[in-house]
Amino acid sequence: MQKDIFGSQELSREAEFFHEKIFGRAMPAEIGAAYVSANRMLLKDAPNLAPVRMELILERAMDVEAIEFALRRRVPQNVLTKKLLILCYLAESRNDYFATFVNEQHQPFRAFFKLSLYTFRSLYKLLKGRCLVWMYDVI
Amino acid sequence: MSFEVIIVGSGPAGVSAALELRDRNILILDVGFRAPKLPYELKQNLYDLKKNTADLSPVLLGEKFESLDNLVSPFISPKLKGPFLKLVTRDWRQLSPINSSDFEGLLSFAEGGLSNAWGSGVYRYNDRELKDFPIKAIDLNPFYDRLTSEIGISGCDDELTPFFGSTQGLLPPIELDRLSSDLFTRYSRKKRLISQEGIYIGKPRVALLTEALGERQPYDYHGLEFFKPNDPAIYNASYTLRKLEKQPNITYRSGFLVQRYEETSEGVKVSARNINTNITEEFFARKLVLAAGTISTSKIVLSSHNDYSTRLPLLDNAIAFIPLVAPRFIGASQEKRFFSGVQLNVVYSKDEVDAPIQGSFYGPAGILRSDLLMDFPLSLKGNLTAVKYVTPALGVLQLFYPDAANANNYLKLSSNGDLEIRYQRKAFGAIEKHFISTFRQLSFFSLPALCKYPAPGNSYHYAGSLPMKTQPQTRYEASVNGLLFGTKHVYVVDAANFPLLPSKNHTFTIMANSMRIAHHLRRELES
Repeated sequence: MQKDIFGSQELSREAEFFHEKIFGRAMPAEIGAAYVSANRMLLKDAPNLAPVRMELILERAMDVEAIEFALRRRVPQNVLTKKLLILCYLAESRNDYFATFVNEQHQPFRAFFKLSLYTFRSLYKLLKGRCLVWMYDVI
Repeated sequence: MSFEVIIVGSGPAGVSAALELRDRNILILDVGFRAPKLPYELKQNLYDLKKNTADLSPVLLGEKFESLDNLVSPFISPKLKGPFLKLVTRDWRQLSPINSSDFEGLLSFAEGGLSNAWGSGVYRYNDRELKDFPIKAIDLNPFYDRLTSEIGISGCDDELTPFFGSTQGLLPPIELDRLSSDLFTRYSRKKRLISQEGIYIGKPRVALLTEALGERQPYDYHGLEFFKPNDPAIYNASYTLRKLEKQPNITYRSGFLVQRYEETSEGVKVSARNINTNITEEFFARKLVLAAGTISTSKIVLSSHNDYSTRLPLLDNAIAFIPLVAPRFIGASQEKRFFSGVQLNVVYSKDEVDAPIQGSFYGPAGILRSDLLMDFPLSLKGNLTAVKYVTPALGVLQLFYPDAANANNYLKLSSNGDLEIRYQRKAFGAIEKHFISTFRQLSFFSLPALCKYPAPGNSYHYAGSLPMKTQPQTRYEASVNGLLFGTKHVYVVDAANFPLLPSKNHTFTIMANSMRIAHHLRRELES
């Protein structure tokens, strides 16, 4: 039987998995509930977005950051990028994530160090993402 | 019941005409959606609110995730997507559909129109910009002066005064944020060098109070413009409407979508659909003033003639966004006291360009960080790091290009009553490259590949469909005094009557010109 990709259980599982991979911590229940509603409201009728095989990514616990980056560069209008963006919007509106988005201290050296690190890391993620997309046919 | 004047629309053009005609018996007809009430009062700045409120999603994202519309819909300015600013564009597609494959404009049926979410830049046109108008700056100046004291404008005398004109009655300029202050200081040091490139930078003229004006308090620098509607410190046409409504001779009727008019021996009959009952009602007056905004006014005129074939010209300020990074601010702390709107104005004026090109420089601190997230070129976690540390170093220069009538750019009425718009996208690049190389000298960096060019219509500055002419010759041209050719009682007072669209934000000139026309109309009513 085919799974309902907009079912509460599927979306909640998805949100939990994405959240852990991106923010590296457990997800508050409110974000999970809002993620389900936002997906239904925004993505249910979005024919211009390229579909992505979410169940495969979740089943194999694939590197979602790498896959998204590779897909974004190839097909910017894809469902995975939008889903991760939804999660970021939801996180940004809660004060537990304030420090993830906003820099409150003057720390230029830390900023340059982290940005340099993430630039190299992004190159690695891009290569990894391309391999995963090619090997598993996620789109 | 009959009125002396019916004014259609409550945006800047409508309220300016009403202000001038305030001693006459006036009916203002409008759809007039009002801003919903915020769930709680926002008493702190944006960043303190974000830090101190467990869940700010009702205000930032909305119950229906209105702020996330950009994910699946065509680009819409962040000014218009906040949940409590959705009133500005509410139901426009249902009330007046536009069919177009190349024009992404929109209409507003809110009380106060687009002034609910405008950039609040107010600029006088000079004679160079009015060169194809049948009027001169001297005709508008008395009305610019009166409006300056009515709405409250901050600004000062600086490098841009030759472009912006009189400083009479201005309130002190706005406080600049850290990045803009740095840009302005660097420019002041290299002024001569930069002006050789035809580029001039100065403080903006904005309809924002830096001092109290009547009951309106000065701006608090809370940076909530994208989320909080109707900040009394920032002018909105509905403030003037509220004042006028208190007068017994002025009637405001909301909930009416004006569809057509018909001239009678005594004046004009106006047909308007009550959007609540769907019943068409008729209103009578000696004179009709069309101030519904360029596109809606044109639709009313075409519908009144049952004309489904004429193509009316449409002008639009094409826009370009140039992101600029000042590396010395990467990793700087986020400023909490700021204004989200224009910080500095930039003007490009050289002999070889026909008309000056004006730009607005501002920072992205007032929008959601997630709006910028996918604009950085890294993987998602890298972008989260970039959005945190690079945003304080990021500014955006938004350029507005002037426009003139062109046979390829038009609006017409389809046989089903919908509007059809065609607008050819312009070619960009050369001016942006020039700005990028000049700003490099001020240690602000960018690349041409990073510039963005939204589709036509995204400036929300439309004009030119029913232009004023010294000698109008068709029924779609207006006289110097706004009277539509072939009519005795129908006046066009919004930007539909502009023969040309300069680069400057046209709202202040729409208001001044509307008052000027209303001034003539008042004299006619008195005679």
